[in-house]
Amino acid sequence: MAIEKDHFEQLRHLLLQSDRDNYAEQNERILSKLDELERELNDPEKFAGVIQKSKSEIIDVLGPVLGKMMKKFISSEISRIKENIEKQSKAIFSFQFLKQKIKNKVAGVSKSDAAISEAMGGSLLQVFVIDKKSGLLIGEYSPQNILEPDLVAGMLSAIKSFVESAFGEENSELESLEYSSYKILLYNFNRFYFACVLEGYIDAELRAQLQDDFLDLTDKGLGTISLKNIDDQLKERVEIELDKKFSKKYT
Amino acid sequence: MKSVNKKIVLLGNEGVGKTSLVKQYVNSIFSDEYLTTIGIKISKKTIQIGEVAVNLMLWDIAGNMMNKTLYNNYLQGAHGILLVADAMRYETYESILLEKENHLSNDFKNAVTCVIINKSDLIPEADADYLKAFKYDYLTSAKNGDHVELAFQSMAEQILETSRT
Repeated sequence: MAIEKDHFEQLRHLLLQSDRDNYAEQNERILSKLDELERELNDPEKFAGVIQKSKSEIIDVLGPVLGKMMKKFISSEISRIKENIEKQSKAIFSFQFLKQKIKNKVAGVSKSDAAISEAMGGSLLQVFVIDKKSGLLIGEYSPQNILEPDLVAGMLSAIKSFVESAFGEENSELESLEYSSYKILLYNFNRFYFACVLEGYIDAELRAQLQDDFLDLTDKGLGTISLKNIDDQLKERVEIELDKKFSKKYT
Repeated sequence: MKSVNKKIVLLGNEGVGKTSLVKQYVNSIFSDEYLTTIGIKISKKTIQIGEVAVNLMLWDIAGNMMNKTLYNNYLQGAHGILLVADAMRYETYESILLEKENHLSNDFKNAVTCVIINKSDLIPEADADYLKAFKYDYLTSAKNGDHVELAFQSMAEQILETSRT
């Protein structure tokens, strides 16, 4: 029995020896390749070479993501810096600050806002006028055509309803939404609301200016419109008013 | 050509086929899934009634939203309400009837309301009395499209008629 086992072991040894040698050789090749790769990755010059070779592919993949991140980051950093400037101005030069404020109030501009918005001004992309009750689009001002403004108006109203009923504060309404570098400001009136899509740095002056524009629009043109039938005639009337108000002002 | 915008809300328990009905009817859909957090999907379909192009905004409310505060907000300003039940689940029919009698006929009495029994393709052919227990306006099948177009078209016509008076 013991002799038979020995023979079996010898046979197994003879048959599998070449496989064992092959595996050992392959393992060695893989390990040396891994070492080589590790060396290349740790060698800044070689790594830079790899990046250089696939430069355009890397830009295609990372460009849009980084662009959006940077845009948003810069926008929020500017808001932060602006706040700091105002805080410091208030603390250190309170008299001067007050004086400047009064001066700017006459001109309608805050000092820090004036400097920043001059360089970074936010741009108005779209304005929607939406029936508060039904969420139907009454009219829109849109220099760049967007897909299905009716659906956007509906979804904005659904989101607005959701937020307002989730937090349920009396007499409170959703005033803004933020997405990527876009900001949607909502100006609420009794029967309808304006949704304003903006991009870039939105300063207090621009907000206030828009508020004035919408108050003016409601006061003069849209305040008396009947929402019983939201049809093309109403849409045309509203869009003429919007166009008059915005086409020259915010380009 | 004259055009008007009208809002139609679809109500009914989960799984009765509201989304499939809309899918069968509409080709412009905002999102194929309910926006789960807010429980709604909005689609648009423009149809021609006589000389008027009617833009139907279809608000498809998730079944599990019924009886929540938010659901009432979504119904605001609706010109039409389609109540959908599943032909194979009688309890879904009872549920929309209750909703119609206790809630909609008081708070939304100006909206045109219709009852749809969906999944007609599953009704056993041999059972002629099967539908006797239901009282409905339209019997539809979102699966094969039976009467789907008719249901929406008729509702739009009724809405238009109501808004003229």
